[in-house]
Amino acid sequence: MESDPIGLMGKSYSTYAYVGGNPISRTDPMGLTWPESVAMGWAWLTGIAPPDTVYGPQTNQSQDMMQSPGVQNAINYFNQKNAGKCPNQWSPVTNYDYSFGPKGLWQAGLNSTQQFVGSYSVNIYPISNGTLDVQVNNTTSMTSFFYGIYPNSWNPPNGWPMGNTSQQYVGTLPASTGATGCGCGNQ
Amino acid sequence: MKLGSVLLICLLAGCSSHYSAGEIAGKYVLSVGGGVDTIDLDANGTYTHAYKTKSGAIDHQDGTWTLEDLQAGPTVALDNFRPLLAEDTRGRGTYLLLVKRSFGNLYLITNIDLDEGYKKQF
Repeated sequence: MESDPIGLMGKSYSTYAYVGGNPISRTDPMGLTWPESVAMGWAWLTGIAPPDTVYGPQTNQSQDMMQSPGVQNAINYFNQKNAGKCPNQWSPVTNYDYSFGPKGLWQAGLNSTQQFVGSYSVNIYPISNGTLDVQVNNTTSMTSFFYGIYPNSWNPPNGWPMGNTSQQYVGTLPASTGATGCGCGNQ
Repeated sequence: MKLGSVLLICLLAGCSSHYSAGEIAGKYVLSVGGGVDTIDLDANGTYTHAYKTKSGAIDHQDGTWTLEDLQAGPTVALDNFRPLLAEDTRGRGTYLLLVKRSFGNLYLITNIDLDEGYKKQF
Protein backbone atom coordinates (compact mmCIF):
# COMPACT_ATOMS: atom_id res chain seq x y z
CA MET A 1 0.00 0.00 0.00
CA GLU A 2 1.41 3.38 -0.98
CA SER A 3 0.48 6.95 -0.34
CA ASP A 4 -0.69 8.86 -3.44
CA PRO A 5 2.42 9.19 -5.66
CA ILE A 6 1.56 12.80 -6.50
CA GLY A 7 1.47 13.51 -2.77
CA LEU A 8 -0.04 16.74 -1.56
CA MET A 9 0.16 18.31 -5.02
CA GLY A 10 -3.26 16.78 -5.67
CA LYS A 11 -6.46 18.66 -4.85
CA SER A 12 -7.11 16.67 -1.68
CA TYR A 13 -5.32 17.28 1.61
CA SER A 14 -5.11 13.53 2.25
CA THR A 15 -2.69 11.42 0.27
CA TYR A 16 -5.07 8.49 0.79
CA ALA A 17 -8.11 10.35 -0.55
CA TYR A 18 -7.37 8.80 -3.94
CA VAL A 19 -8.67 5.50 -2.60
CA GLY A 20 -11.67 7.06 -0.91
CA GLY A 21 -9.76 7.47 2.36
CA ASN A 22 -9.63 3.69 2.71
CA PRO A 23 -6.19 2.46 1.66
CA ILE A 24 -6.83 -1.09 2.87
CA SER A 25 -9.84 -2.16 0.85
CA ARG A 26 -9.50 -0.10 -2.33
CA THR A 27 -6.77 0.27 -4.89
CA ASP A 28 -6.12 2.86 -7.58
CA PRO A 29 -4.06 1.09 -10.24
CA MET A 30 -4.35 4.01 -12.70
CA GLY A 31 -5.92 7.41 -12.89
CA LEU A 32 -6.01 8.44 -9.22
CA THR A 33 -9.38 10.10 -9.66
CA TRP A 34 -12.28 7.66 -9.66
CA PRO A 35 -14.18 9.22 -6.67
CA GLU A 36 -14.04 12.65 -8.33
CA SER A 37 -15.11 11.22 -11.68
CA VAL A 38 -18.09 9.42 -10.13
CA ALA A 39 -19.05 12.68 -8.39
CA MET A 40 -18.74 14.60 -11.67
CA GLY A 41 -20.85 12.03 -13.49
CA TRP A 42 -23.51 12.17 -10.77
CA ALA A 43 -23.54 15.99 -10.84
CA TRP A 44 -24.08 15.90 -14.61
CA LEU A 45 -26.81 13.24 -14.38
CA THR A 46 -28.72 15.18 -11.74
CA GLY A 47 -28.21 18.65 -13.19
CA ILE A 48 -26.28 20.10 -10.25
CA ALA A 49 -22.98 20.47 -12.15
CA PRO A 50 -21.79 24.07 -12.66
CA PRO A 51 -21.82 25.33 -16.27
CA ASP A 52 -18.03 25.77 -16.39
CA THR A 53 -15.31 24.14 -14.30
CA VAL A 54 -11.58 24.81 -14.59
CA TYR A 55 -9.13 22.28 -13.13
CA GLY A 56 -5.75 23.78 -12.31
CA PRO A 57 -2.37 22.16 -13.00
CA GLN A 58 -2.13 20.67 -9.50
CA THR A 59 -5.41 18.75 -9.65
CA ASN A 60 -5.54 15.00 -10.21
CA GLN A 61 -7.93 15.53 -13.13
CA SER A 62 -5.56 17.84 -15.02
CA GLN A 63 -2.63 15.55 -14.38
CA ASP A 64 -4.65 12.65 -15.80
CA MET A 65 -5.51 14.63 -18.92
CA MET A 66 -1.93 15.86 -19.47
CA GLN A 67 -0.99 12.16 -19.93
CA SER A 68 -3.79 11.51 -22.42
CA PRO A 69 -3.05 10.42 -26.01
CA GLY A 70 -4.81 13.49 -27.43
CA VAL A 71 -2.53 15.87 -25.53
CA GLN A 72 0.54 13.91 -26.62
CA ASN A 73 -0.68 13.99 -30.25
CA ALA A 74 -1.34 17.74 -30.01
CA ILE A 75 2.14 18.42 -28.61
CA ASN A 76 3.70 16.32 -31.38
CA TYR A 77 1.70 18.38 -33.88
CA PHE A 78 2.82 21.63 -32.19
CA ASN A 79 6.46 20.48 -32.35
CA GLN A 80 6.06 19.62 -36.03
CA LYS A 81 4.44 23.00 -36.87
CA ASN A 82 7.18 24.88 -35.01
CA ALA A 83 10.07 22.61 -36.01
CA GLY A 84 13.42 24.39 -35.97
CA LYS A 85 11.94 27.66 -34.65
CA CYS A 86 13.26 29.37 -31.54
CA PRO A 87 10.82 29.55 -28.60
CA ASN A 88 10.17 33.25 -29.16
CA GLN A 89 8.89 32.36 -32.65
CA TRP A 90 6.59 29.53 -31.62
CA SER A 91 3.01 29.91 -32.74
CA PRO A 92 -0.03 28.52 -30.83
CA VAL A 93 -2.05 25.52 -32.02
CA THR A 94 -5.72 25.61 -31.06
CA ASN A 95 -8.75 23.33 -31.41
CA TYR A 96 -6.76 20.10 -31.90
CA ASP A 97 -9.48 17.46 -31.67
CA TYR A 98 -9.14 14.02 -30.11
CA SER A 99 -11.86 11.55 -31.08
CA PHE A 100 -12.52 8.97 -28.34
CA GLY A 101 -14.37 6.04 -29.97
CA PRO A 102 -13.74 2.34 -29.21
CA LYS A 103 -9.94 2.80 -29.44
CA GLY A 104 -10.05 5.65 -26.92
CA LEU A 105 -12.19 3.54 -24.61
CA TRP A 106 -9.48 0.89 -24.68
CA GLN A 107 -6.54 3.32 -24.38
CA ALA A 108 -8.05 5.19 -21.42
CA GLY A 109 -8.23 1.91 -19.50
CA LEU A 110 -8.87 2.57 -15.81
CA ASN A 111 -8.05 6.27 -16.05
CA SER A 112 -11.40 7.56 -14.87
CA THR A 113 -10.87 11.19 -15.93
CA GLN A 114 -10.08 10.18 -19.50
CA GLN A 115 -13.08 7.83 -19.50
CA PHE A 116 -15.33 10.63 -18.20
CA VAL A 117 -14.02 13.22 -20.68
CA GLY A 118 -14.16 11.06 -23.83
CA SER A 119 -13.54 13.27 -26.87
CA TYR A 120 -12.00 16.70 -26.36
CA SER A 121 -10.06 19.51 -28.01
CA VAL A 122 -6.63 20.84 -27.04
CA ASN A 123 -5.23 24.38 -27.16
CA ILE A 124 -1.46 24.85 -26.87
CA TYR A 125 0.16 28.22 -26.14
CA PRO A 126 3.93 28.72 -25.88
CA ILE A 127 5.21 30.29 -22.66
CA SER A 128 8.35 32.43 -22.58
CA ASN A 129 10.64 29.85 -20.96
CA GLY A 130 10.12 27.28 -23.72
CA THR A 131 7.32 25.40 -22.05
CA LEU A 132 3.72 25.11 -23.15
CA ASP A 133 0.45 26.14 -21.56
CA VAL A 134 -1.87 23.22 -22.43
CA GLN A 135 -5.66 23.52 -22.17
CA VAL A 136 -7.96 20.53 -22.64
CA ASN A 137 -11.57 21.53 -23.34
CA ASN A 138 -14.51 19.21 -22.89
CA THR A 139 -18.27 19.63 -23.10
CA THR A 140 -20.29 17.01 -21.25
CA SER A 141 -23.55 16.56 -23.11
CA MET A 142 -26.03 13.96 -24.28
CA THR A 143 -24.54 14.30 -27.78
CA SER A 144 -21.09 13.47 -26.44
CA PHE A 145 -22.41 10.68 -24.19
CA PHE A 146 -24.07 8.96 -27.15
CA TYR A 147 -21.03 9.35 -29.45
CA GLY A 148 -22.64 12.05 -31.61
CA ILE A 149 -25.83 10.10 -32.36
CA TYR A 150 -28.03 12.25 -30.10
CA PRO A 151 -28.82 15.56 -31.90
CA ASN A 152 -27.15 18.65 -30.45
CA SER A 153 -30.38 20.66 -30.70
CA TRP A 154 -32.07 18.22 -28.28
CA ASN A 155 -29.47 18.68 -25.50
CA PRO A 156 -30.99 19.98 -22.23
CA PRO A 157 -29.54 23.31 -21.02
CA ASN A 158 -27.23 23.53 -18.02
CA GLY A 159 -29.07 23.10 -14.74
CA TRP A 160 -31.24 20.31 -16.12
CA PRO A 161 -30.44 16.62 -15.66
CA MET A 162 -27.83 15.66 -18.28
CA GLY A 163 -27.62 19.29 -19.40
CA ASN A 164 -24.54 20.73 -21.11
CA THR A 165 -21.56 21.49 -18.87
CA SER A 166 -18.00 22.34 -19.84
CA GLN A 167 -14.71 21.48 -18.21
CA GLN A 168 -11.23 22.81 -18.85
CA TYR A 169 -8.08 21.01 -17.69
CA VAL A 170 -4.93 23.14 -17.55
CA GLY A 171 -1.29 22.09 -17.39
CA THR A 172 2.26 23.05 -18.30
CA LEU A 173 4.37 20.71 -20.42
CA PRO A 174 7.72 20.92 -22.20
CA ALA A 175 8.05 21.32 -25.97
CA SER A 176 10.70 19.84 -28.23
CA THR A 177 10.85 21.58 -31.57
CA GLY A 178 14.48 20.69 -32.21
CA ALA A 179 15.60 24.32 -32.49
CA THR A 180 19.33 24.79 -32.05
CA GLY A 181 21.68 27.65 -32.74
CA CYS A 182 20.30 31.09 -33.66
CA GLY A 183 21.26 32.14 -30.15
CA CYS A 184 18.28 30.47 -28.60
CA GLY A 185 19.01 26.77 -28.23
CA ASN A 186 15.87 24.84 -27.36
CA GLN A 187 15.07 26.44 -24.02
CA MET B 1 -26.49 -8.95 -43.20
CA LYS B 2 -24.21 -7.08 -45.57
CA LEU B 3 -25.43 -3.72 -44.19
CA GLY B 4 -24.78 -4.96 -40.65
CA SER B 5 -21.21 -5.88 -41.60
CA VAL B 6 -20.63 -2.46 -43.16
CA LEU B 7 -21.99 -0.70 -40.06
CA LEU B 8 -19.81 -2.85 -37.81
CA ILE B 9 -16.71 -2.10 -39.89
CA CYS B 10 -17.64 1.61 -39.88
CA LEU B 11 -18.04 1.57 -36.10
CA LEU B 12 -14.69 -0.12 -35.57
CA ALA B 13 -12.87 1.98 -38.15
CA GLY B 14 -14.59 5.21 -37.15
CA CYS B 15 -16.02 5.65 -40.67
CA SER B 16 -12.95 7.69 -41.63
CA SER B 17 -13.23 9.52 -44.94
CA HIS B 18 -10.61 10.88 -47.27
CA TYR B 19 -11.14 14.15 -49.05
CA SER B 20 -9.18 16.14 -51.59
CA ALA B 21 -8.54 19.84 -51.06
CA GLY B 22 -10.80 20.48 -54.06
CA GLU B 23 -13.73 18.75 -52.33
CA ILE B 24 -13.19 20.71 -49.13
CA ALA B 25 -12.83 24.11 -50.82
CA GLY B 26 -15.90 26.32 -50.60
CA LYS B 27 -17.83 28.69 -48.37
CA TYR B 28 -18.68 27.66 -44.79
CA VAL B 29 -21.07 29.55 -42.52
CA LEU B 30 -21.74 29.44 -38.77
CA SER B 31 -24.26 31.58 -36.87
CA VAL B 32 -22.66 32.43 -33.54
CA GLY B 33 -22.79 35.21 -30.93
CA GLY B 34 -25.65 36.95 -32.71
CA GLY B 35 -23.58 37.34 -35.90
CA VAL B 36 -22.53 35.33 -38.92
CA ASP B 37 -19.07 33.77 -39.16
CA THR B 38 -17.89 32.83 -42.68
CA ILE B 39 -14.82 30.96 -43.85
CA ASP B 40 -14.13 30.82 -47.56
CA LEU B 41 -11.58 28.16 -48.50
CA ASP B 42 -10.10 28.63 -51.96
CA ALA B 43 -8.81 25.59 -53.84
CA ASN B 44 -5.50 27.47 -54.35
CA GLY B 45 -4.77 27.10 -50.59
CA THR B 46 -5.81 30.54 -49.36
CA TYR B 47 -8.72 31.42 -47.07
CA THR B 48 -10.78 34.47 -46.21
CA HIS B 49 -12.48 34.65 -42.83
CA ALA B 50 -15.13 37.25 -41.94
CA TYR B 51 -17.40 37.89 -38.99
CA LYS B 52 -20.44 40.10 -39.43
CA THR B 53 -22.05 41.31 -36.20
CA LYS B 54 -25.76 41.87 -35.68
CA SER B 55 -25.19 45.60 -36.22
CA GLY B 56 -23.55 44.90 -39.58
CA ALA B 57 -19.91 45.59 -38.63
CA ILE B 58 -17.50 43.30 -40.42
CA ASP B 59 -14.08 42.09 -39.26
CA HIS B 60 -12.00 39.93 -41.57
CA GLN B 61 -8.62 38.26 -42.09
CA ASP B 62 -6.96 35.98 -44.61
CA GLY B 63 -4.21 33.40 -44.77
CA THR B 64 -3.36 29.94 -46.07
CA TRP B 65 -4.90 26.55 -45.31
CA THR B 66 -3.94 22.92 -45.72
CA LEU B 67 -5.79 19.64 -45.36
CA GLU B 68 -4.20 17.29 -42.83
CA ASP B 69 -4.91 13.73 -41.73
CA LEU B 70 -4.97 13.78 -37.92
CA GLN B 71 -6.15 11.27 -35.29
CA ALA B 72 -9.73 12.56 -35.25
CA GLY B 73 -9.93 12.53 -39.06
CA PRO B 74 -9.34 14.89 -41.99
CA THR B 75 -8.71 18.36 -40.59
CA VAL B 76 -8.44 21.82 -42.12
CA ALA B 77 -5.45 23.72 -40.67
CA LEU B 78 -5.83 27.50 -40.95
CA ASP B 79 -2.49 29.26 -40.50
CA ASN B 80 -2.12 32.72 -38.93
CA PHE B 81 -5.74 32.55 -37.78
CA ARG B 82 -7.50 34.05 -34.77
CA PRO B 83 -11.20 33.67 -33.96
CA LEU B 84 -12.97 36.96 -34.72
CA LEU B 85 -15.73 36.50 -32.15
CA ALA B 86 -14.95 38.92 -29.28
CA GLU B 87 -15.68 36.33 -26.56
CA ASP B 88 -13.19 33.87 -28.06
CA THR B 89 -9.82 34.79 -26.59
CA ARG B 90 -7.71 32.23 -28.41
CA GLY B 91 -4.69 34.00 -29.89
CA ARG B 92 -3.38 33.99 -33.45
CA GLY B 93 -1.83 30.72 -34.59
CA THR B 94 -2.75 27.47 -36.31
CA TYR B 95 -6.47 26.82 -35.88
CA LEU B 96 -7.76 23.31 -36.61
CA LEU B 97 -11.21 22.34 -37.83
CA LEU B 98 -12.19 18.68 -38.14
CA VAL B 99 -14.02 17.86 -41.39
CA LYS B 100 -17.21 15.87 -40.96
CA ARG B 101 -19.95 14.78 -43.34
CA SER B 102 -23.45 14.41 -41.94
CA PHE B 103 -26.64 13.71 -43.91
CA GLY B 104 -24.97 14.85 -47.13
CA ASN B 105 -23.70 18.12 -45.66
CA LEU B 106 -20.07 18.99 -45.01
CA TYR B 107 -19.08 20.62 -41.70
CA LEU B 108 -15.93 22.13 -40.19
CA ILE B 109 -16.32 21.17 -36.53
CA THR B 110 -15.69 23.79 -33.83
CA ASN B 111 -16.89 21.65 -30.91
CA ILE B 112 -16.32 17.90 -31.22
CA ASP B 113 -18.51 17.15 -28.18
CA LEU B 114 -21.53 19.06 -29.44
CA ASP B 115 -20.93 18.11 -33.07
CA GLU B 116 -21.38 21.72 -34.18
CA GLY B 117 -19.48 23.91 -36.58
CA TYR B 118 -19.39 25.72 -39.92
CA LYS B 119 -21.71 24.28 -42.60
CA LYS B 120 -20.68 24.26 -46.25
CA GLN B 121 -22.92 26.26 -48.58
CA PHE B 122 -23.82 24.76 -51.94
